[in-house]
Amino acid sequence: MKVVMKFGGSLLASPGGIQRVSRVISKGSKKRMKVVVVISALGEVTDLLLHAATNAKIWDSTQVIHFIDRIRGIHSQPLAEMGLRQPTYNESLDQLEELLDDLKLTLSGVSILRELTPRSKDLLLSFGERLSLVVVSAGLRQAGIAVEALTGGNAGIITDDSFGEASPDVTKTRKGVREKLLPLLTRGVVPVVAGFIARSATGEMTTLGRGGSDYTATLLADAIAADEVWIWTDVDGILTADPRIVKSARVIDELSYAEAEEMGFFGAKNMHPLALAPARKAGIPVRIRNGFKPERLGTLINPHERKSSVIAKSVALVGNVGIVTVSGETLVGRPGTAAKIFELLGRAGVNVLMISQSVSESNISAVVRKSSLERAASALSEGLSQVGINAGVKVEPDVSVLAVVGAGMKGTPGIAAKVFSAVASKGVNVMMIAQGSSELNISFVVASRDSEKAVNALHESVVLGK
Amino acid sequence: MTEGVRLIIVGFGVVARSLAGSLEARGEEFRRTHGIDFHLVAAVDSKSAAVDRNGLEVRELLRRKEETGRVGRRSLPVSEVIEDTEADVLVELTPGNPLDAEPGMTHLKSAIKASKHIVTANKMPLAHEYTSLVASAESRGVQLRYSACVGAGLPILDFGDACAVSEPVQKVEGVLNATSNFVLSRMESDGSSFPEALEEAKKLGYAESNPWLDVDGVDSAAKIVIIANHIMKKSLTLKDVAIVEGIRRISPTRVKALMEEGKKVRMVACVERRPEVRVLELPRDDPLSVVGACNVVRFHCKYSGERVVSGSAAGGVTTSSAVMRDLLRVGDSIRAG
Repeated sequence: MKVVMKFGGSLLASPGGIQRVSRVISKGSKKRMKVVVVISALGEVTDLLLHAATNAKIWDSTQVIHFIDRIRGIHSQPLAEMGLRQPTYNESLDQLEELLDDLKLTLSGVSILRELTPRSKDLLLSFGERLSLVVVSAGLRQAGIAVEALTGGNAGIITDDSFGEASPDVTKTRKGVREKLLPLLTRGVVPVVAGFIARSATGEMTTLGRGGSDYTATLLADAIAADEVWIWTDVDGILTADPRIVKSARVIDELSYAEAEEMGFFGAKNMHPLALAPARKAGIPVRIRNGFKPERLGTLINPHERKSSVIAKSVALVGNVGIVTVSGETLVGRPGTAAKIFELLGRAGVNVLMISQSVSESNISAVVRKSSLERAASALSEGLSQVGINAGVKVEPDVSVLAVVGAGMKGTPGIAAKVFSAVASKGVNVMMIAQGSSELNISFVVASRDSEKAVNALHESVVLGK
Repeated sequence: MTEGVRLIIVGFGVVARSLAGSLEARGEEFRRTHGIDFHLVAAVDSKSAAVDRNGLEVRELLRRKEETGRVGRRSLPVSEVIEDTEADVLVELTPGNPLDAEPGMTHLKSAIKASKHIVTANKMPLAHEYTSLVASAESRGVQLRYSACVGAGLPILDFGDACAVSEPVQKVEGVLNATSNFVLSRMESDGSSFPEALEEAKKLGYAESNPWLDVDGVDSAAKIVIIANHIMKKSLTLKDVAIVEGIRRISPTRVKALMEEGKKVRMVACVERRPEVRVLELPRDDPLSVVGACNVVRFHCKYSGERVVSGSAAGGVTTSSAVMRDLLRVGDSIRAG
């Protein structure tokens, strides 16, 4: 059985984290698993590098050096604590310093030129995983695991050169990854691959953008035809709701790719749909597991949509959104208005989360992030009057979107009614509603002050089925 | 007749404790030789403060610091202690923060506002705002003395002053960080690697547990700013210094190869126009190739050429001797009226 295991940054950076990871891998090897390891940057390192990316333009030498020292501390501490033998310890420190030197050069370059190109931003962000690779591979070797440390590019992941969000060249990647990883697996070596980073065909450092290290894991799994992908994190799996809001939230044992993608869209702390795609296409099951509690099975995302007794699998809450409503008699019977609204919002760089039109056609509402609400309103009032649509534009700032997701809703009559009555029983008014064409989700809008009450009511009624 | 001089010490680490010890042990000597009677009226550390307008019992204070880690039983706002305690001199000994020079900067400004003289060993406020601090101290008729900021006990600034009396100093270069120089010397003498030599420096108390300020060149950069501003009348800040390279990446192989060529590698801070810190390969007999926990500075004078001062420059005791020197000068001027 071939398994690609991805280990998250908070897990790796926790005290004893790397030892924990090595136990998981050793256990897999004992069961005759062939394991490929994908790692993230340690803890908060990616955030720190992003902070540097924004600020290095105005940094002086001292600030650059101070930043480097902070990054050094995060990586040298675990190296010092794992009790490495010589000369491994000194070699690891040397590799660390070599990378830190390069990082310093990159930052100094940004600070001298006062400019950060997408190309140098990718280079900068790549240091998180590359530094992590030095620490994690040293720790695994110390635990007696034969490893080969590889960057994403060295493992064979080849992308185009759209820096910041590069797209993998599937054919080249499959070929490259197979050629590199399969011989290692045959020899019993565990490839340890730095996630998130890849290489363009011309050999430049690129990053996989929002999909991150999870994306690396599914790309590798697709290439080597792995049996499963295990995503090790610091949570028990995908939950039915945000446990900070819903006390009775629990782990979902099993869900389909489609469901997982819907949940990812609504911001569940979960895999990005982009990262899930290669596994979905190849039909490889993905498990989300808790590295601190490896005895638990976590959540299995698999190809099959299994109909269960519960109607919905989860309820998500998206706060910090607002509604912009366009209304007026001139909208009635006028085709293409919705398209026009989308176009105007798109041009203003506003992302629309939900849209609905009243049956009377006299008004159309769009849900957008609160940060772009004002922009949306002014783009609409200006743009519509220019094309001769005389309409009023109103905004509603304090609202939240609730999204109920689950394959159980498909073809089950009366779902909307059930959802409404659950919410109405708590005296909450539903302001807008929409069901995706996949029928896997119903989303609706309530006033923010009612949102937590509504999430709890829905969780009780349609997820737990009480 | 002796003149009473009342002191506030803020920051109670190694240097402050060594200073307080000398004030106690050598009080009689200073009364006799300088006619000055020092009273410590307030002491502040990061957690607490002790104030007594009649003078604190120094022995008791040191004992309490040793036993409890605090100088006082309660915590007081430092600026209030500096501004409201009746005293003549603020002795500012908090650790240097290279990013914004706090809290030292606030302490110095409070003292200037309250018309108190200042003796400091914290180089960062001066490295950040030398010109405005010196100007505002002058406008308030306050003495600002900082010879302990450069060279610890080695009187580099005094030596430079003397060089600059009759002619301009056109260029200054020097080894200004004793810890780094100790590390490099150790690598030369027994072939240690950088981490090993640094570990040794930590054991001997030369290096802090996190020595980045020293080995990455920031401490040297702050010192060259102070020297350039003081001796060459420039208005530089730490931000103006190009810190090109520290000593972390120097390998034992490179050190050995250089030794065979009769050369040494040294971290040198330099200012002629633009100040910088970099690693240089120097002939073994160059005056800058000093050995051990030392500093050396070469002043390039317009007519008389090169003048060099060098000597041991590390540890709390040598730094506190420089603070003592500045304190006695302030005391002398108070006594002279």
